[in-house]
Amino acid sequence: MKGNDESQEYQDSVQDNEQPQEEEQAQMKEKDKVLYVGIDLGTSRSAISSGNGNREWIESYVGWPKDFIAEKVLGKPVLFGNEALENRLSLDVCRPLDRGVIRKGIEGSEKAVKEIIRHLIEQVHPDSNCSINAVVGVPAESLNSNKLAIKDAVSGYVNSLMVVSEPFTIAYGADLLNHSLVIDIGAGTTDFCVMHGMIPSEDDQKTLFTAGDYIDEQLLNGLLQKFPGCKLNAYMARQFKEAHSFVGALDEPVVVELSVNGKLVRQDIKEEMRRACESIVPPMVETVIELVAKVEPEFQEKVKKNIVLGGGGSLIRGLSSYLENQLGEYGNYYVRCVSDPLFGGADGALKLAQDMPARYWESL
Amino acid sequence: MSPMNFRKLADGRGEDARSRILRGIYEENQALGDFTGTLKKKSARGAAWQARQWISIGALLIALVGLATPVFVNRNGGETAAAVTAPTPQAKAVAPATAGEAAAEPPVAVTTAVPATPPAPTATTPRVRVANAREVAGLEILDDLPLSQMLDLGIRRIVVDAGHGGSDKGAVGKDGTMEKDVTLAIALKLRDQLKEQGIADIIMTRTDDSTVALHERVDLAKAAKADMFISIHVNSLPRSSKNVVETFYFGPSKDQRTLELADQENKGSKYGLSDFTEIVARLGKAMKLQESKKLAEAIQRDLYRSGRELDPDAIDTGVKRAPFVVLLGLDVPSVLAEVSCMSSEKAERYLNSEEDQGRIAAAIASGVMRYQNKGAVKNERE
Repeated sequence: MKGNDESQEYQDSVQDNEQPQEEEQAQMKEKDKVLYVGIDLGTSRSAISSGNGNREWIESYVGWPKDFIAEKVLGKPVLFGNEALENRLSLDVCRPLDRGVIRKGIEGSEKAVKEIIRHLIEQVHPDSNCSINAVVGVPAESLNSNKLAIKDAVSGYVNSLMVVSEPFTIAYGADLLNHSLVIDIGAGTTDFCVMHGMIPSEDDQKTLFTAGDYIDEQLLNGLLQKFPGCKLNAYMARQFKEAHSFVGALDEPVVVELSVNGKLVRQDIKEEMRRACESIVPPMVETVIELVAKVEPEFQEKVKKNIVLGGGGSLIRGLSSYLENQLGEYGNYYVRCVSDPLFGGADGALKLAQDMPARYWESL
Repeated sequence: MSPMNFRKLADGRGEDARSRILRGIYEENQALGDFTGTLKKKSARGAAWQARQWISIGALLIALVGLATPVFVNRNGGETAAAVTAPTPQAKAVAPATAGEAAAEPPVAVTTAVPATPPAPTATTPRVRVANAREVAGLEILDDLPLSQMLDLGIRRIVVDAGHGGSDKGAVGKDGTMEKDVTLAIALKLRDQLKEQGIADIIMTRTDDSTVALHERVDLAKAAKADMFISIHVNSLPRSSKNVVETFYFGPSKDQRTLELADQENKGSKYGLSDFTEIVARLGKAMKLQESKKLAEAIQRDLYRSGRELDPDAIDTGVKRAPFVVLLGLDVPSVLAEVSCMSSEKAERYLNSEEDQGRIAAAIASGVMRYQNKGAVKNERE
């Protein structure tokens, strides 16, 4: 059904625009030889959606064997994602993006980004004879230098490239182009973007550094305070968060296994989890109010009722209703989550790539 | 999915809006290409800055060796330094034109101090006098990097500022607790804790319930040549009973609540917020904010931990920039800590407890010590 709808809309748009049919056909023909990909390059996870229907994601970790013995044991010159994490003791592991920005000058970071891009593109199996046009999402307020660094990293593997802001790709993918506020809660950053029917300006976007990693840190600190003899690290805190995160009220306990003084014990960490997850909400509330206040008064009510959460952070149980409640003091807000947080950014970037007229793609 | 998916926008404006967005993205990316040029120019500026740094360091060495030279000359029975000038090409290049000049200002130091790379001195390079070298070194280094950081010097003198006081009560809680009393109590305890930590020189902006204007507090810190400035305040949220813990450093802010807070804390200064919006923006960009930010982060972490022990519902809103007058004009790490929230009944109770005031002071002291031990410059490089 969807395909028919789209086809009809496509026909409508052609008629509406009175675009010459030959030009359209030439563009279609040109597009056949091109593989479009959308990439969401995240601090924690990176995802790719491809025009050939393939989609993949990996944890944004890259590891190189520490020595030739490690390489022999692992059987690979470079490992990615979970595989890299699981074998981290034998590897030099790099998480190349810090708060969504390539850590320029840090040994291995730029190389690691290139490896991630190469690996992601390989995962979608492009034909050897097609060219690749990519749209890559980066944090909303990232500096131009970061966009350039990403452009440098990607340029070896694609023929043409565009860099856009991450929350914008989510908005585009979900058709939230007007009177909406998209909040992309990633690991390093929480990105806000107000959409009003045109490309968002700097004033429409804001980045906070209270995001998934911040929750991990709060959780880790909370647990270490409550269980002083506990052996914990950031990876474990993150795993607990991914399995049990919630805000607001929760009826059941949150029980995890902890190693306290060398002994495995089961502990309820509900309160620590709640506090850690809720710690990102106050700055979010402030930012939402700040951004909504900038919208033209007659459209503010529409935006208030069209707030969408994306990114891994939107998977925190109860977050949309909790945020809605917190915003209640300032008016009637309606907050919901995107249907596919993991691929929301990559899918939107792909859609953007496919919609982009051929004349706008320039060879790198 | 159709490759040319021009769907209409929900507001009925049709394909035009989508086309506009697509064109906007294209233009933005094109601008990114143009930005490359800017970046290259920036790199060139960076290289020039590095060159200036080299010259500065070189000049500093000149100054040091220059100071040492008279001693050396005197010990050698008044021999001219020309006799000890190393015959390297660099030395020749900057050698004085006449013997008289050589006698007056020996070029010996230049031989050792001018770095081989950039910029290589030429025969036309003006001679560097010792006095100039010192001036240049001082200006260049102090402009870009305080010596205390560059040379990794410790914190010897701290100004502790108890917010408000005298006729300025600050925030007042439901039970009548006044911010000015709480900040003074915490500030005095902080003084004692810092002294216990080995920082002997603590200067208080007030030690009793007296009125001290904001600019006087700043003047005091400047005159004392303090290494650090910590201002203690208590937050108050008119529309909420939440207990917020936050630490500020100087800089522009767009956040409405922060601006309201700044307005509140800036009362009694001779400025209004609107008077110095421009200067705030300018200074915010130009100042070395990183150090204050690191100090604020260190203090905020411990302050929040302690706050949560006292009130599990305390909220950590983190480190923020704000245009507080009391932080304006200081070029040393300076922060303003809102240690708790007077509008929260729970917080007001513990803010009245001597023991809990001590805990808050201990948390700030711990943050200061952690900042000092870590070394802010090292953090900045991470």
